[in-house]
Amino acid sequence: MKNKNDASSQTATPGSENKSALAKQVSKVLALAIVASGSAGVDTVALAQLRNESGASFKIRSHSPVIDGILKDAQEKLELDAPPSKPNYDRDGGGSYDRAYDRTYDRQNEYDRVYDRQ
Amino acid sequence: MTIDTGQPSQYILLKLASTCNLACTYCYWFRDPSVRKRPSVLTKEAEVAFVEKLEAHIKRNSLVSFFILFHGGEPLLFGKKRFRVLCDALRDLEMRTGCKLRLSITTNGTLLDAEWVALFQLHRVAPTLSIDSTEGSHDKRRIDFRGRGSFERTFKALSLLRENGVEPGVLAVFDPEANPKEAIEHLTGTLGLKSFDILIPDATHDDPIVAPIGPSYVEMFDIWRARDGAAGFDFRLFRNIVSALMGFGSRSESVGLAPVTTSTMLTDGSLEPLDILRIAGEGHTATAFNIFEHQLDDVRQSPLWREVHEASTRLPTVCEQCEFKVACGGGLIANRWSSGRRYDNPSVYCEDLKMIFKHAESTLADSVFIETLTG
Repeated sequence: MKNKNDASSQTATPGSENKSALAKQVSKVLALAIVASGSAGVDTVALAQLRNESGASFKIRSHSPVIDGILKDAQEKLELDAPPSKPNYDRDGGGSYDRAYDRTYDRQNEYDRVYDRQ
Repeated sequence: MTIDTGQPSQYILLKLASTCNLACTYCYWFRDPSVRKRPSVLTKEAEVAFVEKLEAHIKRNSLVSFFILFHGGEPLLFGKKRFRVLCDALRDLEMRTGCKLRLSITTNGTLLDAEWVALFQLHRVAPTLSIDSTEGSHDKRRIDFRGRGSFERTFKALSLLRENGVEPGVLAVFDPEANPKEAIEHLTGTLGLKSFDILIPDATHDDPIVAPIGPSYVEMFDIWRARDGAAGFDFRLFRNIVSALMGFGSRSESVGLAPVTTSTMLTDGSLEPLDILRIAGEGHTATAFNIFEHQLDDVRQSPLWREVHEASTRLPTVCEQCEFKVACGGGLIANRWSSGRRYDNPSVYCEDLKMIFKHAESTLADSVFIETLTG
């Protein structure tokens, strides 16, 4: 693992002591996420909550462009789904969509974009 | 990722045809001979009842989105006229309820023509084509009833869709005899695909021989990761494995620890759990539920639906102790079946999956870093 930026080295802005502490916590969780990988799993909802409460912006990045793209998309989705406003199920198609049947390769979103241009 | 098991379904496989015009050597559908006893295409009565029950389901649960995957057999055998009527009814339902219907279809493409493409565009039906990973694999395994390969016909379908501005999703099924590098070159080079998936072959512990897949998938993973820029491509399985390893969850039933909730409606209106479960044998997925007498989600009361739902989150001991338990989730639930222990097994591909996950994990450990943008 390569830490380009260590959260502990960030300079706290006035009144942001708590945020800074949270930022460190977030950074630690993120680091654990990377090191532990799939071993115990990561509570991504709690992670997003920590990030929101800290006011900090942390990203997991990768030197591999293809992996970096996946991480970028995943983290953007995480921010959109951030609690505590998340309902019991997403009426807009979250929920069971999270793990979909894989005997189709759904390109609905891309298809809609093509359709919308016609 | 925890899913509230009490949430209403927002997804169904709708079988438009039980029959197929191909006889693919590995087809999971016909591993269950009972499908041949169903009506060849969706009956009119079942179609009408489905639209009625779907509307009731949407209203009861105040859904704003619902996904319907048209599937088969070969769903284009349903015919254009009936397909148009069905899609008209669904789009009318959409207008009445305000619930966005996402329509998708998985086809072998051999019957596709300009009229079908126009229908897809008119009704916003997103197509997925089944194309195997090399032309040789395709023509060897995706054969018609005269034993002829179907690659040329499927390739024409891909071209036709593209000529009309539609880039379909593409699914291949892994061929243990195919060269992984040639497979990727074929899909990305010859076919020019930017995104696809190569499915792990269907197998259970009852199968006498299951070919190893791990080394080939590791090789494909490295090719996928090494590509950059314009040469890059999206390999869905690897995207989900990376996302799951990083704790962001998976969007595939084959990857990750979460409940399996998919339901299926057959051509006679029967309601069943996830249809891939039928690789366990004849009649395995049969239930007492149907669209005429029951609501869409009543199938969740069937013993098999509940068994699979529980088995998908309660893993066998060997999985509980595995370092990749959460990211892997035991793999595709159908691959865990044995006649003796039912779903209380690790995947029949367990060692292969470990190899793939371990390789992906080591790749991630070498390449990821934290970027803090805090102030």
